[in-house]
Amino acid sequence: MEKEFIELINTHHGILWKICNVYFYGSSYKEDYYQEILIRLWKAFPNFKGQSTFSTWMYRVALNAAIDILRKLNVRPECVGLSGKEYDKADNAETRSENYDKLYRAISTLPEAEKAVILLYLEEYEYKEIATITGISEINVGVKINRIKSKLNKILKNGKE
Amino acid sequence: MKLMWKAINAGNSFDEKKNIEEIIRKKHSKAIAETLYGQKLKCGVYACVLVVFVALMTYAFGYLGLHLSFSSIVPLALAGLFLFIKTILECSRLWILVGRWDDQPLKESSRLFQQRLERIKMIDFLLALVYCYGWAIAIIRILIRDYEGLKGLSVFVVILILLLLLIPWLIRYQHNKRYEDMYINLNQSTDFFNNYF
Repeated sequence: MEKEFIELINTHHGILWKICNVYFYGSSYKEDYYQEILIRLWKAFPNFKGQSTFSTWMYRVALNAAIDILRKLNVRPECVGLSGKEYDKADNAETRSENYDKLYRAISTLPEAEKAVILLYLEEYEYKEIATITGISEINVGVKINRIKSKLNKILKNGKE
Repeated sequence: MKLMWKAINAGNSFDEKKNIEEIIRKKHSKAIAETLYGQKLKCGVYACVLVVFVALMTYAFGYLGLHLSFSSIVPLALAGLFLFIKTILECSRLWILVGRWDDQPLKESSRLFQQRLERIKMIDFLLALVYCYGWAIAIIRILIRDYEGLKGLSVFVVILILLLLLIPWLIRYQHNKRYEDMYINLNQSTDFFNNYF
């Protein structure tokens, strides 16, 4: 089982980084939270029965874990994003373009639930899958996505909502 | 936006692979393990001191039949009260930290988390209510039986009784204040998941 899990994670480990970047953008503990999410995926793995694809299941567990970590550390999402020197110090290992900064910074200002939906949308998940992961109805997913998109566009244009 | 997302993530190939095997051997990551350990330690210390305190009081008053004046009992009661409140508050915090619903859809896990938070609030409140109101009733009984003896302390006794009656409500207020950020985020999530159009 361990071997199978490691193989699956190796194939999809980009998902973990994307979730960490979205939820813990600029945090110097990002690496640590990555590990925590990975551990929680491993603990939940026996419950993976293959009813959905592995990546869909992985998104569900990892998003839950990321949101849970934020809640339990009693940290408001907007406090996770750092700015200026502090940010550079925390993230200096990453290759960043201006767009990378802009988009991740914009997403990091969204509330935790909106982050999850926009991440799944950007990852080109179908509305049905987004509905399964989040628990929102399929019709509602479309409406939510449109709202978040216009919110993000505003942030990207003006720097804030 | 999708194109932008693709472009930035294509540039970042996430090639920094971790030693998965080593990570999954752990129970928690370092920061989380430290948080949990610290909280468990606090809970353990307060619970142990409370148990020792209760045992000593039981031994002194029950077994040895110690009789102290009211003014000597009050500091002991306040010390017990402090230990009791600290123990339930720290244990509640631990209970929040250990719960998780990773397999559930996000909407459901938010609901379950909120439910647990509310349950903790209720349990803390009820425990404090029983404990403090129990003490208040005991003091009032002493006051009725030995009014003459407590006459000189009447203002102090009234303040103490009022304090005991107020504490459960203060605990409830403190819970809301302490987890204010958590409640804001949870309400935001609940609104988001429930709202229609």
